Amino acid sequence: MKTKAVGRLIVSVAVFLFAFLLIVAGCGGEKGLTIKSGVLMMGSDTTYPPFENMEGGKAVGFDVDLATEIARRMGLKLEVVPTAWDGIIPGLKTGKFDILMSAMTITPERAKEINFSDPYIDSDQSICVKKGSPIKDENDLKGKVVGVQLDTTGQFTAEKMEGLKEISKFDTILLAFEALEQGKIDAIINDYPVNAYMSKIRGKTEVVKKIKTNEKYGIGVKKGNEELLKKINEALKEIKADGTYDRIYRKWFGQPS
Amino acid sequence: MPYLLRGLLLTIRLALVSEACILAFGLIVALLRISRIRIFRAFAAVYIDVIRGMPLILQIVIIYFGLGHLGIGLSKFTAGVLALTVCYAAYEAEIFRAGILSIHKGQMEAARSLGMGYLKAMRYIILPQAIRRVIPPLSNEFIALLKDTSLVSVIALSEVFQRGRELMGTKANVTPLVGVALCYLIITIPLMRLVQRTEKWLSRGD
Amino acid sequence: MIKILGLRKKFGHHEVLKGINLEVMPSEVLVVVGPSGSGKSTLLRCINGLEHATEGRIFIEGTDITDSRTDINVVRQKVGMVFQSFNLFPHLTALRNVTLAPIKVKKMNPDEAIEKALKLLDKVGLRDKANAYPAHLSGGQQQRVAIARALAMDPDVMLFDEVTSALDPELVKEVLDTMKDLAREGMTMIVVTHEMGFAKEVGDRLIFMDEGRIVEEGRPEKVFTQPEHPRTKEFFSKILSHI
Repeated sequence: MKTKAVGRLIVSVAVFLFAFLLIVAGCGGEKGLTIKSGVLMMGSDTTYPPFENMEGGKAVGFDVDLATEIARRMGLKLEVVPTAWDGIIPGLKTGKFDILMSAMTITPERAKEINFSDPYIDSDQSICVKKGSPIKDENDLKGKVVGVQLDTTGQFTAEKMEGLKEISKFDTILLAFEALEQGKIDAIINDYPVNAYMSKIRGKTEVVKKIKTNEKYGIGVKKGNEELLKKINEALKEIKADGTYDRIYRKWFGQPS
Repeated sequence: MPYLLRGLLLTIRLALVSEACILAFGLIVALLRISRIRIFRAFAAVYIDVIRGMPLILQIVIIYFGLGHLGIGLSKFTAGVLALTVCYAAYEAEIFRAGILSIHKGQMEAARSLGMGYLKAMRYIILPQAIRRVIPPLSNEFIALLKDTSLVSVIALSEVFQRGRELMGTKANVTPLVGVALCYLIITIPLMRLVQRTEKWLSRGD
Repeated sequence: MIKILGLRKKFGHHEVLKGINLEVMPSEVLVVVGPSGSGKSTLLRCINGLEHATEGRIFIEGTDITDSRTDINVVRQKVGMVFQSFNLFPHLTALRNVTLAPIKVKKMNPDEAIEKALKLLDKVGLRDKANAYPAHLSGGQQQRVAIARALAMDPDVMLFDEVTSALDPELVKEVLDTMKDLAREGMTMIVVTHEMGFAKEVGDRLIFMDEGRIVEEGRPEKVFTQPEHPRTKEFFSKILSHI
């Protein structure tokens, strides 16, 4: 009697699980353009103003505005998935989101792992110091401690410099600015727009030198998803052509591109 | 791999220096916690509660950046050691306290009846017995500490975990993380075995 | 030697000692008897400062130990105490148990302390166990080491708190014999015990305590055979009927 009851229980649980799986599978069943139908999910390290940061629980910034516009033109709604910087490429590859847009410089190493859209902004590196610092350019950085964000082109640029005392690698650029303002580090090497923006809003630092690196940001798409990449490039072209891009650029950087 | 191993050295150095400070400070807090002087007891109780009620990563950021705002500039290493010490001393103080209280009160009375003062009795009679009992739990705390040193990467200390994440970024794959895992495991697994054997050995002595 | 005036001890609202007056002469062996809960142990613990007197005064060789200015640690060196549960230090050998206090408290030279400790261990018949740890000694042996440990401080008075109660019957004698030797040498002793044979043989004087008071005192034999107070009569009629 008892074994019969147990057997029935197992059967019913199995049936339930099977039904559940069918439903779940059905949801993702129709192979759409994006992971969640009607939504474009964008992975982004939202600690990087003015490109992306959280404000009142909402992601804002240049990348966010641009991505919203791209999504709109594709008939999709944008959803930002805040993601730590060092987990962002693995996140894209493992399908946590559809696109990666996080002020990411296009590099050959990264291009091996993911596909990049056409570049959407030029971004040179720059040296940022505390106001009144004697450091004026790369030569003054010899024997100094330079702060960067872990795994960014800022770090790679700093690593190519000779004679630095130390490179302090921070998880977020906000922490690097905190350290710079407290005199724990001597300079920050980071993307020019960000250094300029942070200095403007925090008021204690200044950009003293632009370093031409011919860097460009791109939107990352998982390899193999060529259709999505094509649609993004088309939307991007349209946005640039009809003046929408300039409007967004001016909103965040205060000057035309 | 040598890049990771150099990070591992920093991890070990952080853990060892911190542990030395933690043992000393934790014992002091434990003695304050069981002191007959009310203010000492209250101070230790508040300290233990406050610290244990906060995430370690927050304490690290507060000590490095927060104290910086107050004009107290600490090096990354010092700040890391200080944060780990402040945090772990609270836990280890409780372990010390439990160890001391587990010693039968007759021991203290016998020592006192021989004319030993409280501190002498503590030092020669109570602590030597208590410390034997707390070696296993303290060793487990040390293993936890070794793992928690990874949190100091938040203040840009380039220990093994940060180096792993860095390599993951540049190589854009996850194999460096496997390397980091191995780095921790080659230390923690032998330590865990050692703790088990010590536990057995100590219980045989009872 | 010891003089106690109007000693009262309360634990919370419970009064354990209700006004004890007592004097102990040098070389006297005072036996304290009474039912459990009568305050015998508390009395001993007060004399050693392990419990603070709620009221009253305790003089040891003229020093008032209830005075907060008195350094109790100095007084305790003159008062040896042996406990029911031995309380040997388990992490030290028998020898180190005996030498620790003289070295750390009296700042005695270690060689001298060891020499003295060996003599004392010899006296309690345990010289060959000097290097044994307490866990490897029988209860009787542990208690004799505890006696040697207390003697090492050269006390003027020894307090024994039911020192044979936790022992197996066959081990009681060795401890009592050690105590008899001490008494014969002229040690002042206060002995809380249920060993009436010992009390009769060694005790100079016996006090019977009940409910925090001394209800009767006198020579042990006399109290045993002709108790005056009804409580004493009842107590001894119960105990002595066993013998």
